[in-house]
Amino acid sequence: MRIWRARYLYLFLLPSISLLLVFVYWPAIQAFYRSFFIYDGYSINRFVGLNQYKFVLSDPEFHISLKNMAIFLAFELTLPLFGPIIAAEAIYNLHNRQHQASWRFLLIVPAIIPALVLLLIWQYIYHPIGGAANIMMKGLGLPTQTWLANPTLVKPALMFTGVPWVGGIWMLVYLAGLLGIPTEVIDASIVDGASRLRRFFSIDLPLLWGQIKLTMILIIIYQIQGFFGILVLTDGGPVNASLVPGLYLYHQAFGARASEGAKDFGKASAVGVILFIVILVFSLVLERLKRTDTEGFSQ
Amino acid sequence: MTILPTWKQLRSDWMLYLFLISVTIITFAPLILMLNISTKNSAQFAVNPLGITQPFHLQTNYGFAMKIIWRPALNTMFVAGTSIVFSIFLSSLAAYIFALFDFPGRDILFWGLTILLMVPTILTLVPRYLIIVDLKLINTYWALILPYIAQRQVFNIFVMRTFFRGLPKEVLESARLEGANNFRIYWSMVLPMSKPIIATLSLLGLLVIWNDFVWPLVTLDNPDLRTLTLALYQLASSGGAQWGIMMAGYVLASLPLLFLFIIFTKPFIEGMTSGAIKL
Repeated sequence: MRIWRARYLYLFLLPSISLLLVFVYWPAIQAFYRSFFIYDGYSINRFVGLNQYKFVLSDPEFHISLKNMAIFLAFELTLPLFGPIIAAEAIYNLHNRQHQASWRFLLIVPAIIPALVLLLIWQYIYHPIGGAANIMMKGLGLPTQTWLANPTLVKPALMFTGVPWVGGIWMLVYLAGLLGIPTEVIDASIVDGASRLRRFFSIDLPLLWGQIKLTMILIIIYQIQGFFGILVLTDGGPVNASLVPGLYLYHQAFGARASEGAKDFGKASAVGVILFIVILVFSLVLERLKRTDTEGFSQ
Repeated sequence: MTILPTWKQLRSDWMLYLFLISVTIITFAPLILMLNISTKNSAQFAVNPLGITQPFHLQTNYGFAMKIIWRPALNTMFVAGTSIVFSIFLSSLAAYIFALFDFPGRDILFWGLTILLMVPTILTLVPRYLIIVDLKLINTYWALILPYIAQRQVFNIFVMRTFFRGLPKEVLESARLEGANNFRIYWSMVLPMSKPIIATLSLLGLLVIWNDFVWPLVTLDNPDLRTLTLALYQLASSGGAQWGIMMAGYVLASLPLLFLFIIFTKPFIEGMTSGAIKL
């Protein structure tokens, strides 16, 4: 009876849910299923049990990609995590309201420029001939470099494309958090004679903790699975020095360098499942941490 | 209306100004580099890549870049526009139902949605591609639009559900007492009251779709259908190092979003700060 009365509600939910079923739920289930097969998209489709997992987990290239990922992730949790908070604090503490608004606008601009455009500008900057980086090196009297083609420089060079690590949507989120702090709290701290730095650590940071935690989770999830920037700038090279797991998966499925042989969607699916589990573990651990940490902060 | 800070403000905030001015310069340096190089022909670039060179070759560079970019730009606009309109419509409807009605199965269905927040895109990339192949949608706009609608929905439903729950219940209730049906309440009350959050979600969706590179790369190889990101990538890897034309193309590709953002800054920031976007 109640179901019949709600029939229009189900009807309205139907298009939404069917799209999710076809393009999100079904692929998620398929990923597990496919990971037990060798499948080249055409003729070969053979059940191989856990062999794909065995192969991937013992593949030195996959190990390198995990190590690279860890290095990139460790960096992303430093400056890129805290830069937007510092920028938001700087804007929030300006006494001139109009300047607050202008800087809020100015520092969002890089988030509005297409990410690919920014990457391609950096591709120019790092270009060995006529690139801005080498021109600056010459100007400083330093030896020129091949940047993205140099195995030791490629990781720092890729990290540096985020300079100055302050802008974007996150700065906006933190600023909104700061503006949401009740004025009485701040007034009380001023009356108590708390310095600005003291106020930052004992009022602002604890109140922003929700946003910081969310940024952390999203950075970690992105670093585990993301590969778009690296695909564009280096395709994992040189000699796998910038290979990350997402790109490893992409190579398995869609081939990268022309030299690489047949596609194997099964192997790629197995990598996807492994990364899914890694992300899941990280999310659950962070979920735990968040509770204890919030308590620690509010003391 | 003064552009400069007063002496008093400058004296207390000078460190903040110093910091903000330096990060702003660093932020904009690559963009200025792009604009500057987009005026150069090959000879000017070879002699002086960083300095300002006269005369400007705007017409040649931008004209040539425009020829390469216009069709992909229209493709991206069409795909992004369609995907966003449908995903906002479908997800607002779903969020409305989840937020304001009680019906058998609601909690199970909503739990099913929550599960999706745990599904990373990397897990579904390959099987999603195989489904598109099976549905014979490779090299069609649908290969982009349908998955975009589906994927944008998850985040949209969550945010809008939170937002709708904060709407004044009495107003909606009184409309119901006056005989408005559920769809009417949704269409002529809930949606208009949610303009800021809709603006924010549309702009966020637009950013994601406009920037997407990997999905079009694997599902499209018809040059007529390729999106802006694919065209830029091909322009960049076409060799010949025609930096002026390449940079002109990058500038053109950045303009539409920049204009939209300047127009919608206010509702966008209102929506971002409304508290619904927190998860």
